[in-house]
Amino acid sequence: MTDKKLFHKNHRFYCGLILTVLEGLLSGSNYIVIYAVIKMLYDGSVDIRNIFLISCLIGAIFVIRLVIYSIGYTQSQVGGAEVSKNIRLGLGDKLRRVPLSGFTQKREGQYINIMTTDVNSYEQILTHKLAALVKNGVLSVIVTAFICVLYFPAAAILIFSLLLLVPEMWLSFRIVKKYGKEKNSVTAKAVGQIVEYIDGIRTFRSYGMGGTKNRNITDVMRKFSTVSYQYEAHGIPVNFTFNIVNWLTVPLVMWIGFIPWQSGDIHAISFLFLCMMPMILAKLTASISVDMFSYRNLLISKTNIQNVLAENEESKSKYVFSPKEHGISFYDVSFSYVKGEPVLKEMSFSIPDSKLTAIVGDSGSGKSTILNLIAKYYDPESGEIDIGGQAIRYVNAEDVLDMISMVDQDTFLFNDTVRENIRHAKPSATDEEIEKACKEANCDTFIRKMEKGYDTIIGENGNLLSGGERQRLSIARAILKNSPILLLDEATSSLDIENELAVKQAISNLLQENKTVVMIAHTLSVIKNADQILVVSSGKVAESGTHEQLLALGGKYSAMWSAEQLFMA
Amino acid sequence: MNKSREKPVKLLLKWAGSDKWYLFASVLCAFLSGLFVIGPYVGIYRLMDAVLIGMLKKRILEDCIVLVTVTTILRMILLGLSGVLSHKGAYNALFKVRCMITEHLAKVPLGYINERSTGEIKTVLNENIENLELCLAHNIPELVSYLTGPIIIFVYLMTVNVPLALISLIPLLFDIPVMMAVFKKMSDMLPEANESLAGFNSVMVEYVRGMRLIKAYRMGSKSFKKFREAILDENRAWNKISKKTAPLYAVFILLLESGFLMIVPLGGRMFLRGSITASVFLLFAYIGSLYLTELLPLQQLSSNFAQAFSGIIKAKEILELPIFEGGDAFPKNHDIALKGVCFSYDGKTNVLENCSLCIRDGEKIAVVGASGAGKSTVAALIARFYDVDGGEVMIGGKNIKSIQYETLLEHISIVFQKTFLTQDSVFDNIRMGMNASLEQVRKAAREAQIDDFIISLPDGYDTKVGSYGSRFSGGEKQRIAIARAILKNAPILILDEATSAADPENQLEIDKAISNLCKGKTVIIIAHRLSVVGMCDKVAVVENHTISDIGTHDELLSRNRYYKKSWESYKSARNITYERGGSGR
Repeated sequence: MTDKKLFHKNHRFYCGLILTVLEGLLSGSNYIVIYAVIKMLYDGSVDIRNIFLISCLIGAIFVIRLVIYSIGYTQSQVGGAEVSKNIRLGLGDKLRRVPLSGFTQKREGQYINIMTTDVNSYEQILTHKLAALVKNGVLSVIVTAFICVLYFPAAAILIFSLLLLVPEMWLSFRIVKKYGKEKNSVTAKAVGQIVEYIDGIRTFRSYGMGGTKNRNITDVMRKFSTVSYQYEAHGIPVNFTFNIVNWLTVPLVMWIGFIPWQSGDIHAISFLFLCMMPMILAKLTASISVDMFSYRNLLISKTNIQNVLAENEESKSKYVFSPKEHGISFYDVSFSYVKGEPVLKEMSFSIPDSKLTAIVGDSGSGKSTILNLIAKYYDPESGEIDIGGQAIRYVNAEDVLDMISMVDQDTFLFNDTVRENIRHAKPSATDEEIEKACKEANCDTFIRKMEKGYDTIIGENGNLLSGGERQRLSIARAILKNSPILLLDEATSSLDIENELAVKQAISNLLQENKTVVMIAHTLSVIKNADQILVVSSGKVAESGTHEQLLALGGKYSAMWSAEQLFMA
Repeated sequence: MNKSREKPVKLLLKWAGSDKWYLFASVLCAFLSGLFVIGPYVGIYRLMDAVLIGMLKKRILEDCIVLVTVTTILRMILLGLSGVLSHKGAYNALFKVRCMITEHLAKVPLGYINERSTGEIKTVLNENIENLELCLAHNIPELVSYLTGPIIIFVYLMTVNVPLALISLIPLLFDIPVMMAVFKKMSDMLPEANESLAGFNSVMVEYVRGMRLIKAYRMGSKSFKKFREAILDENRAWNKISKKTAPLYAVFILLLESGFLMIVPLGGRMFLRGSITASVFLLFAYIGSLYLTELLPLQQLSSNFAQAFSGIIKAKEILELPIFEGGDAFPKNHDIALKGVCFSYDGKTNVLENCSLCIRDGEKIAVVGASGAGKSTVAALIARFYDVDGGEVMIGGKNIKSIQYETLLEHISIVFQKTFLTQDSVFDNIRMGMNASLEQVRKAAREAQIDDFIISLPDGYDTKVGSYGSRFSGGEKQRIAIARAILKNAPILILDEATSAADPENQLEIDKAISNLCKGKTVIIIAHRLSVVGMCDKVAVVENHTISDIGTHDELLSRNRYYKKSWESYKSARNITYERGGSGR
């Protein structure tokens, strides 16, 4: 679906818009009634019959307005919701095609915000602001035109005040932009400090830095208060000036209209009308000004939506990915999450097929980045990654992922039953297969202890489960999927005594099938029997070999090993 | 609890203190500006009157013009002034409320500040309080001026002609039941709509956050189907509400203008009977039927007020958390004793029952037990995060309730599982409000095995954690926190053994740092894993809601079943080595 088509407004919406505007125009008939009354009063033609006629007329118009407005308002609500629905579906469809590298934690938050809040704001424009703007705009043109017919100089003044909307808007936006920037940065700082204060309140307090004794927080809150006030205060003069000029058209037109009335150039009725209309126009202009301002703010939401729709898509490749074996090679791979802060620097190594390769190294040295690149969550900035001799850069991410099971530290779970959460790994799996996988992954026992066993719904992102339990479910998925490549982050050192053993046994079971395994290890003892150990240090492979080879080398690995032995003793 | 029955507005004004005068002044200005709304109407009425009786002179016109001009300018000046004052008052008040809350949080028992409540507190401090600005600076003055305008016009109309003025109010009479009907229908359908909205939100979050897995398992179309259904469901619920309430709502809005329908025929009759003049008739036809529409913005204010009030109530809840006040100095002797302690978090299920423990001054003790057994609770009660429900916690033979709370916290160092660092420099992070020189800070850092690392940073001790923090490893952060505790040098140390992954090279240094920190102190270590028991004099086992056994490692190994089993699984977990085709030993 193209961009344009997504924002396409449906018939209901247009119908609603037209009816709402039509009703607005009919409300202008109020003034015609006033005109008629003035005329009657002035002519002295007031009688029961005329009053009856006028009453019937306004009664009829009012009933028509009621009907039109009821239908129009409802249609525009329903139509607006329809547009929102389509935009959301379009966004959801689009996200399927955004490469996985686009799904950083920050971006994910933005996507969610755009799909909920921004789409709602855009709907607000459609259902409320647009109709109000068109209606008030058309009405003020009609009123001005009418006055133009009555007496042009008066109309000239009114047109002038209408045109003042342009500089008013311009100035207001400039002020918002200028002071808004400062306000936004101070707001961000204040919010950051408040979050820090609350997150660290136990620490702050045990060091006697609670409350007003903590100068950082009081200072930033005071600054926030001052800057916010200044931001608001700067907007007031513009508003004030515009309102004064806008409303002073009322006495001005009275004055201007008096001269031709006195000289008999215009009729008394026209003169009275000239006196009354500017006030109505002033009200219309004021509400146009308010609506325009929020219209423009709401358009930011539309831009946000459009930006997502314009994001680069994963290119669909025609290459078939069918490697004969599953050895993995890195050739001069460089990668960074943030420009200028390289995580991997021209890294080269190869992981043999059907062997267990372990990656060790200081935290932050790029270990998990290696797994992310193999899984094609990201593409390297330069260099090539091959699987079975085939470069994965030119292959569809899904095709690569088909070959891979990933067990990492954050296991994502869907708000579904345990059984379905495991089944995702292999949709054709029978219940027996699922339970068998769970037994091997050491999760059968805790699953059966849950209220409805395998049919227990595990809540939003499985938040009812502990870290160790989640890891084991993720292992069960990997066992079920039985893919030729296994990427593992062995994070058992973050678990308590009970979970550590269970997870370690589960991993051992997972390793029983002959696969290409890449395992990140945080302790060396678990991987001393690996076929190959890669020691990663500041974005490069510093050493590689078997445990014995690396010990004989007497380098970084051997230092890490003796440290660990000392600690374990 | 007389306090909790206070009205939100009253409470807010109390919090605002002297700044409430800004708010009062702003309301006064808004009220006066509302009064001046009448100016143009009076001017035009007098003009009409003069024209219709053929008596318009230049003098009368000038009078009218002056009246309209002056009232308009005054109205705008007062409106602007009201805006300035209300914002001044509002932001000052917001600042005060925020300060009150941060200050109060510095006094409440630490137990109240747990993971769940910190999320709520952050929302209150950042969002709920910020929303008060909308209420104080905009909604209250608006409410006053929106109400004053129509009321003063009505009063004016009453002075002109009582029966017609009353007739002009009739639309309001019809409109109130319509409004009620809209509300009724809305609230009837809201539960269903909220449910589908909540479902829709969580599906959307899952869709985005789960995208990796969705792609890995090729669940694209399946997930999209679920996503699509949630959206269609929300759309259906919304349409149902729209179709039921929107027409009525439209009627509600238009009815406010329906004054015409009564005023033209009835006013016309009165005019024909000679009981009103032509200009009175015209005045009512012109203003009498439209002034009620000025009330329309009010219905939007009500939801804003509801939001603001709920914010005030949430802030109040925080401010009403009880605090520990008063108490004696900290005892010289640091023996710690729990005597028959009972405690529950929710008032129903006891976490600890009749639990006793004795730690002598200078002793190091590890607390072990299954997860959820209450290890952390024992430590939390010693630091008086909570008050016990039964029994006593004593330090140096003194019930901790009789020790001044701040002093108690000063004499206990707590090293939490999750290391907290501020955005400030490394130096400030170690010093943390203590008056220490760079030399003292470095000495502590050396003992914490982190001085070398800090010196290697681009700006050494002045390196900002904020700009560099993401590159500190868990172990480095932890050692900075340990340096901080070493500098504080409190006689009692509570250590929640970190389970967060650290690399092996770090672990040895962390161990050294911890053993330096422990020197000469009374230490309680919450041991989630058993690696730390080696450095402790004794081990206490928490099971069945109490401390079931206490003794040296060897004693417990020979007599405590739980400990023996744990030690065995710890040993076998330690011995697992992975290899191709499973695992070996």
